[in-house]
Amino acid sequence: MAHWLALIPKSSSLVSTDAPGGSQQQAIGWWALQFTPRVTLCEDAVLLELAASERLFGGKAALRKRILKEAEPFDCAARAWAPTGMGALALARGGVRNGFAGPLQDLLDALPLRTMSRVAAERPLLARLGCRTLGEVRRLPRAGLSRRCAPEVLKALDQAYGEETECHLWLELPERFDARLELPGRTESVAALMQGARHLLTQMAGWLAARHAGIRHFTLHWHHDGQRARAAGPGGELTIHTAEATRDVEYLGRLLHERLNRTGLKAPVSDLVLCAPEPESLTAGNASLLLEASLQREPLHRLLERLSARLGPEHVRRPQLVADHRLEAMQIWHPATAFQPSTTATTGVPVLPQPSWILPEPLPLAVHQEKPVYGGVLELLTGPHRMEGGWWDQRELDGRVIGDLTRDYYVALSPQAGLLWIYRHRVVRQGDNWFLHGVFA
Amino acid sequence: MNSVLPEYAELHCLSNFSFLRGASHPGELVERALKLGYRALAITDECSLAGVVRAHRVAKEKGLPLLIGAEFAVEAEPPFRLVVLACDREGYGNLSEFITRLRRASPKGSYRLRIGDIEPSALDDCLLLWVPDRAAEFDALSSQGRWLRSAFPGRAWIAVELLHAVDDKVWLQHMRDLGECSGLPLVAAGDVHMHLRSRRKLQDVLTAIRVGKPLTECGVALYPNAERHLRSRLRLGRLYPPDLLRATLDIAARCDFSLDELRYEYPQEVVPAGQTPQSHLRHLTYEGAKRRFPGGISEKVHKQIEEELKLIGELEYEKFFLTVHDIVTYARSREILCQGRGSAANSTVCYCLGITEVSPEKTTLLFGRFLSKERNEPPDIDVDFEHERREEVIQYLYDKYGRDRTALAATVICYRMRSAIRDVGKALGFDLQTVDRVAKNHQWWDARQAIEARLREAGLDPQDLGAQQWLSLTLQLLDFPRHLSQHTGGFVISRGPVSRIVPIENAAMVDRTVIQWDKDDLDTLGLIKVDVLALGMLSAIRRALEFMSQRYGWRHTMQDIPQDDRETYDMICAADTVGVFQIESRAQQSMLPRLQPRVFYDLVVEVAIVRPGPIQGGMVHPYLECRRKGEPVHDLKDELKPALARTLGIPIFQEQVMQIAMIAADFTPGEADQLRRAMAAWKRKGGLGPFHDKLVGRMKKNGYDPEFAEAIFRQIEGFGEYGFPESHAYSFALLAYVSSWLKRHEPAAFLAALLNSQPMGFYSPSQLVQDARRHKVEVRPVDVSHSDVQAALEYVPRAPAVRLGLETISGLSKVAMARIVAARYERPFENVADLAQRAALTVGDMKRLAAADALASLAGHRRQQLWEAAALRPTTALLADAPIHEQQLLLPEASEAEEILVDHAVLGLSLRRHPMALLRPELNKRRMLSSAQLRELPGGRHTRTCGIVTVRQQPGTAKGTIFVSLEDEDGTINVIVWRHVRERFRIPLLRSRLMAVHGQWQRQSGVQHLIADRLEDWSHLIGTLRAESRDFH
Amino acid sequence: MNAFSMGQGQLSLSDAQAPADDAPAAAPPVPVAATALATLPWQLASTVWRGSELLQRSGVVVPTGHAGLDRELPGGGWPCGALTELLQPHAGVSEWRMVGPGLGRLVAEGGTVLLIGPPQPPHLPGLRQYGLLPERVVWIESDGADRRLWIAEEAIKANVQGAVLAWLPKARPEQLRRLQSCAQRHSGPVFLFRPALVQAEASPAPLRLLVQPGTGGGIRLRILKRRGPQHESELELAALSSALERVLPRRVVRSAPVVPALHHGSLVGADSQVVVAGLD
Repeated sequence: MAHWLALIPKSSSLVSTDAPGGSQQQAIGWWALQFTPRVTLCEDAVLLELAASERLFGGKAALRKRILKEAEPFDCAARAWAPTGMGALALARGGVRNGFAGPLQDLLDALPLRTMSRVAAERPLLARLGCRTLGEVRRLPRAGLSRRCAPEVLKALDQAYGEETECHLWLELPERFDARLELPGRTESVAALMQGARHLLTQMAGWLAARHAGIRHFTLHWHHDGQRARAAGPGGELTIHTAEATRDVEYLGRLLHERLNRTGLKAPVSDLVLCAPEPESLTAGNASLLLEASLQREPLHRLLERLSARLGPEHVRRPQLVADHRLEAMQIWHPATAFQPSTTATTGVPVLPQPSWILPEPLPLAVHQEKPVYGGVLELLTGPHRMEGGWWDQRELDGRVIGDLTRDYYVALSPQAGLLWIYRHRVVRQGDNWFLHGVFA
Repeated sequence: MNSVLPEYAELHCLSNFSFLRGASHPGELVERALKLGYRALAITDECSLAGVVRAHRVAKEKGLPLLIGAEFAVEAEPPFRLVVLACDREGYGNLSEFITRLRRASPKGSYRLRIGDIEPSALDDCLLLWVPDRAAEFDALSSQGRWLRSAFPGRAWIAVELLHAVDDKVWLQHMRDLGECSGLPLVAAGDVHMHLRSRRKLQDVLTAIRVGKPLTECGVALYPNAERHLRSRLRLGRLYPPDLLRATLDIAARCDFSLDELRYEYPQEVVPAGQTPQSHLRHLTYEGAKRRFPGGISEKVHKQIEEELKLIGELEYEKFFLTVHDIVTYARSREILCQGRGSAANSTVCYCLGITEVSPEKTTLLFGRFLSKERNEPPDIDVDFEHERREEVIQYLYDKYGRDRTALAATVICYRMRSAIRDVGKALGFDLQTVDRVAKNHQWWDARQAIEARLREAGLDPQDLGAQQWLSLTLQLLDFPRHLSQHTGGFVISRGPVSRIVPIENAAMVDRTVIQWDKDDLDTLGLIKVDVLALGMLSAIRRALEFMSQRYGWRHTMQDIPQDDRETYDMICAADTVGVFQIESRAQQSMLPRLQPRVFYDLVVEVAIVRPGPIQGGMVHPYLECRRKGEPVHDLKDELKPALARTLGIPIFQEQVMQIAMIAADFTPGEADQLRRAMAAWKRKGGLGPFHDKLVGRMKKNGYDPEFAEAIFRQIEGFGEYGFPESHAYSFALLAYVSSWLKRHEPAAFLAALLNSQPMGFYSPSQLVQDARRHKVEVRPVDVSHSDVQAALEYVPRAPAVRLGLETISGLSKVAMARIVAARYERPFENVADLAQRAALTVGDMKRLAAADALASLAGHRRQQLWEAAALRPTTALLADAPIHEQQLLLPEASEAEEILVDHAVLGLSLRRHPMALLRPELNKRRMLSSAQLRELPGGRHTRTCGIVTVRQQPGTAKGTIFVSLEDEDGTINVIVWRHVRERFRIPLLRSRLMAVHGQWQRQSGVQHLIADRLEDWSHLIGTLRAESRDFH
Repeated sequence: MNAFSMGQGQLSLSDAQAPADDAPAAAPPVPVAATALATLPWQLASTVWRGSELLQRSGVVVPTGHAGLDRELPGGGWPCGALTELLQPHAGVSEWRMVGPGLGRLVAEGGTVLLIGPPQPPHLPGLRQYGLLPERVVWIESDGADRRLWIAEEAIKANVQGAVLAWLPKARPEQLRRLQSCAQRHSGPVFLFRPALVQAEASPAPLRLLVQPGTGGGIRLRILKRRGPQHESELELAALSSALERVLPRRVVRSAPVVPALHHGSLVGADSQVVVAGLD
């Protein structure tokens, strides 16, 4: 008896389902080729026929176990085993996992119309004729049904029930990996581009898995789109090398990300192409290592990972700028290990001066003859710069709530401490009135 | 340093008519400027003059010189803002036209101004303030400055706006340099966005709404501080050098224009050559009088006409009347039913001109009171047209007067409670679910204070800071203008281009333009508009008259409807008024049995009495009491008799209240007019307070009962939103009577006419059909062998029955309908295939027809129809003729529940049993009474019932009471939900589609209702029907 | 534009721009003796280092962005592959005005700036005015003196492209020697900020400066040690960021020389002797 498995990938928001090749489905399909040559992409699912492979993998049970285990990373939405491919697909959609648990016909008869797309397409008609299940559809006269529905309906039913042989176009493994992905929108952010690139990498990993191979280098091309593209050129590319062959998506992704951050994007990108020309067979237990162009340099992230491991991640920080008027809200420090750099190239150099050090907590200043003192009596050079805001902000930043601020800032000159950014509350309060907040060091 | 406060005029100030930017109402800005002792204030909204009339109204009243201007964001390198101020009428016209040009060239609500598009001569007689970009390089600024100086010699300034940024001092120096090298003088300005510093939070919220992000993500889109308010002169004196402040006064002095200078001029073409407006109006009036009074014009009428013509002549309103006459004549020539109303409409002249149908002989003449010399205000005539054909009239206006001289008045769409809650909540960063819940739970019946309860319901602590902010900012945002929409039909038609009076912008509708002012603004300035309104009932009446003409063989008009028909009044008294005009609402229906209208004037009162004014004034019960006794109030003073005698001494209409103010409280006509204006606006703006003391005080002094005086005042408040003058009531009552007569005597024609005029009125087609069937009208299903496109009357075998039209079927194309009717006209259809082929229908059309059960005459029950319809495949012409041989399949018939639900899904109504009838066995088990059983029940009993919710409404006057209408197989049950029950059973009240009600059954003087004390949501029972019918869609 | 220049040899401008096949340049050669400075595009330089890096790196510098200072420094800028000690009476007073302009160029070429134990949290919007992009700044915080030393050493040894800035008030001379020897394999500059008090102690750093607040927001500077002849006089440096300079009253600004503005055009244009032609 034929032995089919249907796997339905989770639908991805990143890629439209009709985008050729650019999907999780493709990746699963290529990955599945390591178990059987009889793999097909059918609608939104991947179908595998496994009867011939059972012996090779140590019997039916062992094969099933192994496939399910190795399929875990794909995190499929649904799956089912059945004696027919179309049947397996319908059962998977209907939430019935084992199509061998009873006579196939009984299992299928109970399924609702939506489980077979050909039948579902005729649902408005069939439901109003009183049919809710596949079984009820099959009870309508064949000839009458064939006149009223698309011919594919009967054909699909027959195939699912095993009354007609299925014929599928088996998936073939391309010699070269060369996949293209249209991004859901134009993006200038490396992070967004990486999302797309990871999809392609996953696909490549599936392709490599089917060949039991890894790669030493691959190239990502990207295509510029939009008005600025004219100045920036048609696009760019980046080739990543590794010291040894690998198909570790996580690792390759990190390398790519690091390099992309350094290269930056000159214009909004609309699509990506990933090429991997020369797979190398991979021996088991092969730890793939990075080989950077310059051996003398340790990649920044490696250094920071090491330092973070030793000092604690919170001590190795990288900043993110936030457009805000409030001094304490203009940047956020992230642990370097969790850092997702965003290209800030678009935010220009601020026109108004900003201090280069900021005090973690504004420092109340002594006052001498109504003048604030810090390293000597301060001379107010310019101001006030009035800052009011934050009334809406109940978030904690660095452990405290900023809340509503009303401050007049001044640039002050200290005989010993140089140029300072100090403020005074607009509404004069009791007690401390002048504060040091930053230094133009 | 300055011991004397400097003089100042603010020249750059946005109101909240710069939508989502300005955070203060125009009036607030004016009042604050006055308080601060400014010498003048300019309102300069962004590419808009929408707020200037409101500012003008306050400024004029309080005596502050107001400058009219606008601000523009100019696309240039570097970009800048430009403030344009009008020097005089000519400059104002130029500015208005300039704005019009920009607005008309961009989609609704937007504009673009590129520096290259600024044609200096387009802004002649205007002064310009250039607000340079602070981030720009000096060289770029200096070349911009030189360009401005050469383009606008002697009338351009550099506006220096110091708002407490760290570089202010340097910037000022920079501007001095710029002034020197460009030759432009400097002037101080404030970029004002709010009247008080304390509006900052609201201004931030507006920014967040505009940017479409929560405040926490708005960052530098927010202003860094609150300096964009009207600042004290003391502070300005410290900030700006004296010469810059002095320059504001120089500029203000050069702007010598007031909106009062706008003079409206009527279109010329309504007067034929060789005639004067006076002679032409006189001619037309007497021509009409001859038609109206075929028996000859009585002395009384003649006198009245002469008086009216004299008054019109003195006020020079001839062209206005001629304009309205022209519109009405056009409509008549196209057989579009129309009827005028409004204060000036119920006059003999209007009757003669054919503008109204209310004969002055039947009414007390009201004209003089509403078009008086003392109150030099534009006459008010609204003309209602058949709703489906109003567009023809509008296109006629555009054609005749041209698009540049014809424009629709705007309606300023303002923040309402829900939208304010929603936008503020989102800006404050509450999650969308919470925002949605609070906004959805907020009902139209909730008072403003109720938001607190809504917040609590959504799981928020109202004392929490965030919730507090939400609450207070929502209340501040309330009534802020949000955008301009088109008025329902107020047209401004002028002699010259309208755009020189007020800017015109694009409306959302293609090819529609609106001016930037609304009805109130036009009133303030005394500009005339003609209201071209749409009224569905007129369409229905015309159709019913056509059915009658068809049936009886001669042309029927409204004048052919017999007057004072007893059976019609019997029906009205029994509140059997589903579908008729005006008196069909729940509130009206519960009034009818008590008021017992017997003559036409009773209907006039009926239409007017169920309104906020009389209800809040507590006039309803006294009136009913007097009517019951058949005599006027016993202590009616003689002096009030002319005003109140016709309503038994009880004031019902708006104008009666005004008369009382004049008679009993010594108001001059001018004061009375102020009162009327204040009435219309007090809910929005307040300001009735001063009138209270005046009115009540003087009435008491004149020996009136203080209670009566207070009641009159409450009534005035009630007239606020819906002032209902007698003249309107007359016109409405006429349509109410005509439609009632049709319902009583031609119920089939009336039903068909109503169905063909949908959507309109209170009731859905399903309810109308049910009501008609209860009145023994036979309604026949949609069927391809019988139905026309629209509902029609059939006379065989019994006459007349209503046949539903093909248009009842949702999704069926007009073209398909037309082809079916045309093909059937040749010969009847033999079978389904014949229909499909001859009417050239697609499989989709056929399935739709089958789903609607419209093939019953050709193919049996609905599933059978579908089976046959689906068999048709598009085939080549040759094959199409080959007969199809197929063994007859007998499908089981669908359940009744399925049939009913499919009917409702596809047709919106069902001629089968009511769904409640199917549930009845189940409901009997639960001891639920049907509406028929309730009708037999004595009053005072505790009982329970259940039905499908058709209406939930709260009359504005009913103090938190909700009226719910339930429908079952036997009719309607009226449920009253008092406030405490409403609060307790809020969720079932809101959510139920099928509601069970426990309560007390009441019946008095023919009115029956259930006073609820418990509500339950039984919507799941509908679900059981659906399960029974399986998943049909 | 390239920030690195080399102390030895001379490459003409045209050579640097020449295609890879070394076609002879038609442009007139720059006189060898004229500047005694050589320039190499960064990309080219990095490939050359593979072979004889010690030799070459010893001469690589990054212009400081202060023309007056560059003139006094061997090679015309901050040395790469060596420690630079900046001594201040108080920490956190003038670091960025001092090194910011030079670091801006490193960042523009893809470099990263590692801050080890700074006296205050860095404020990126302010550093941005020197061209320090936030994604190129790393703040490593540690309290212990030994630990900071360890971090500094790790950072220097990793040889991440860019610069290392470390605040090491308590480092002992032998510890500094160890750092100096590591630094020789580092391709960028290494700045150590230390208190003015230590100026009497011996230091392995080839360049030592004493930095103090000057008049009106400027910086007073003494070169305590450099390769070559001893420098005696005090320098007064332009040290206001252009944004600050723009808003300060003229009397203040006039008293202090001004740093060429980063966003107002070419950084190095004013200082022709370090002009470098890049490959791109």
